[in-house]
Amino acid sequence: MATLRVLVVDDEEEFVNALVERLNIRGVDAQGVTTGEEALDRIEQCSFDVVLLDVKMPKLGGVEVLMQIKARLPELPVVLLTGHGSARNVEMGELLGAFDCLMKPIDIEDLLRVLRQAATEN
Amino acid sequence: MKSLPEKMACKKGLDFFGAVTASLSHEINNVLAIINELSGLMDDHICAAGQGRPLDPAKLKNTVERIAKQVDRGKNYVLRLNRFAHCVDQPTKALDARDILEQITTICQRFATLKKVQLQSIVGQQPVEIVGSPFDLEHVIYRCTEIALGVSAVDSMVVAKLEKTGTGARIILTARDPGQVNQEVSAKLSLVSRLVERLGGTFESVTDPGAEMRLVVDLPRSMLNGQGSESDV
Repeated sequence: MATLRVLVVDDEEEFVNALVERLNIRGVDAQGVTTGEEALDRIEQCSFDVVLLDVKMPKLGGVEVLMQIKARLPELPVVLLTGHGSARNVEMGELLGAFDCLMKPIDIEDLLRVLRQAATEN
Repeated sequence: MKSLPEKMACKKGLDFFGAVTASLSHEINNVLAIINELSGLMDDHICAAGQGRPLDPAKLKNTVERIAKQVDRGKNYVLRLNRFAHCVDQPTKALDARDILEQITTICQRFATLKKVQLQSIVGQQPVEIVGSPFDLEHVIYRCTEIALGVSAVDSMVVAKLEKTGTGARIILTARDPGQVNQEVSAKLSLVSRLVERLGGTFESVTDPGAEMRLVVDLPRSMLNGQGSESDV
């Protein structure tokens, strides 16, 4: 099976660092960024199979980033990450074509399953 | 039966309570998510050791320190949430307005971060004593902060300053590079005006689009002489 390439986007740097390391341990080629702007730059520079995107971020929020990703690379699947209470954003994300939405804290095995599914189905 | 203005004040107070508790619980959830990943990372290293890969004590120590840092951060959020929840315990009490201003500007840091605006509070060395409802004072400061953050340009700064006056306290919020005062902002300014009036104070806002917005709240030493407190309604 080809190595899964994942971009993790979350403004919590510590969360990104730990999650990227855990995904790498599991054989995923994961990279992390902490802003929406960086995410949009990174998807232009590198190829990814799936983007894991936090909904609540300063300045360019997850929903705006999702819209821009879908405008530039409509085939690139995006999985949203949220804390509780962002139901409106989740609905919006689904409407805009997000593959799935996961609640933090996440179980790493559930996450891997969803990421692989997103990459395969797209 | 409550009058319409009383019902409105009550609803706005609940909105404020909801916004603050939602924000702090979101922060706590973020901390838990980080601890979840860091503890999972430790588990990954331990599992790898079980499969013959040597454990790196320095890496484990580093992960433990990262967890401890998040626990401290989480404790701080819980402390703020708890203090905030207790602000409705006593309808009126003697307050140091400095504590209230710092409490609200700290709570609002997340809102400021999401807007990419810096939020700073300035208080003096001397206590600024006021008698009244902590909740009402927090609500007024929160609403002013909300307006100031809302009109601020990205990467600008909002300053909340507290001064002791001859009759009580003055709170001045300054936002740099504000946009035009639209209908939504006007409605929010009217709300603050009504809230301050109920506490026996006065409110003034001056906006110079592109330059500065100043929100000035003057409160009497005793906020019991106004039309009433939200916590009474």
